[in-house]
Amino acid sequence: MSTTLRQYNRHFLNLRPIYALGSWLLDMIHPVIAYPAIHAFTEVAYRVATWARAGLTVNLRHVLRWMHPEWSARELEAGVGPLVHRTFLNRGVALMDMSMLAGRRPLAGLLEYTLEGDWGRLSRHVAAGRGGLLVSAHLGNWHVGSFVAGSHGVQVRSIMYRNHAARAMYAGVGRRAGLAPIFVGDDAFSVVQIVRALRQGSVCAMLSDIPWDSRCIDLPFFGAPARFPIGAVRLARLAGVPLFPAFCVWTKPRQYRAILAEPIEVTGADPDAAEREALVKLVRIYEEIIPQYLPVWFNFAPVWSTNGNGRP
Amino acid sequence: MEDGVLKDRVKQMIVECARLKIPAAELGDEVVLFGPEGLGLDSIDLLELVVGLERTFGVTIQDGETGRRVLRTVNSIVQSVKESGKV
Repeated sequence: MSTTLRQYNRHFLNLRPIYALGSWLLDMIHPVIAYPAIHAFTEVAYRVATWARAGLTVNLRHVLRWMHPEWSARELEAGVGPLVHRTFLNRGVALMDMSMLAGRRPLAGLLEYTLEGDWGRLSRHVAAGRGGLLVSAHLGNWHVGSFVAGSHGVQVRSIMYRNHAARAMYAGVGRRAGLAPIFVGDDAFSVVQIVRALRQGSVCAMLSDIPWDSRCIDLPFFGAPARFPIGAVRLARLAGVPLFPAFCVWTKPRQYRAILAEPIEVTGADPDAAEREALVKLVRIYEEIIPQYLPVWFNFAPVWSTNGNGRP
Repeated sequence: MEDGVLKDRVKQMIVECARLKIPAAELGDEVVLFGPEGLGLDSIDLLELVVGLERTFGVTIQDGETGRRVLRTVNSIVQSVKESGKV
């Protein structure tokens, strides 16, 4: 039984007044005060959001064990606790940066970023009239990633589930960063818009690491089977566009690193095999990059099941 | 193309795109394809159908609203293909 997005979002922090008040406050006060304020709020969230802490703990423990097989159980637990705490605080930083992006402050100089990978290739690809699908994990700040791409002449259409609580914030980011979101989830027919956009040469972006209630396949992930949604590879294959694995991570607030990996084509005589092969390549990239930026891997839903089904 | 032949081809396309485990002939003309009251196809099936319709019959679904109207049943697809004048 997979965790559905509706279940995942049903918690007291994901409420419209919380987002509205938070965004308004953070927009009004100076960042020097705002970051400590969000830090304090996230500290409270860390203590009360036991469901999220539990999921994150399981996930981070698994990856740390994979990274450090030589660690004893005591060393492992000594590493997991502080990492979970730090990841929570970093989630607050991500929301603060999002709030800044959605707010009224001038965009110029708001975020600093460096580029890694062949971003010129993506620009050339788009200039040649071909669409592409940027795929990422719940790593860093993916919304900032779309903003960075837009700053380099690649207008991105973000494919996202509707989150009514955070709607105003996403709308603000979209308006200021020139993003045109495509909402999915409520209506299966929204995928028509995505296929059309990709085929007309647009670049769309989506997260492709949590299956929610979508169709998925089991693949080895940090040494154990985990479920990955097939939506991205199916979209890419049917629209005839490559996947561009992309990540936007940070080491300090508002100082980002936008990483673009080599594109993955989803082609082959056997469609299922082609999709699986592409997804395996994508997951390998996740396995390379997530350990490098583990404190900004915001996957609060348990990835690995304890009952053998891939997810609890 | 005769109506019966066209309908058979549409049914075949649906069965292949959605990977249904039934013979094409058993697919009812008025069975609703999407939603809980019908076959219950999902967004992944829809992707396949949109592209399948384009490849097989040259009919392009431009937006979600058109998709909802055209891809409702076998008969609605047949009607749309006929109206397109491409077969």
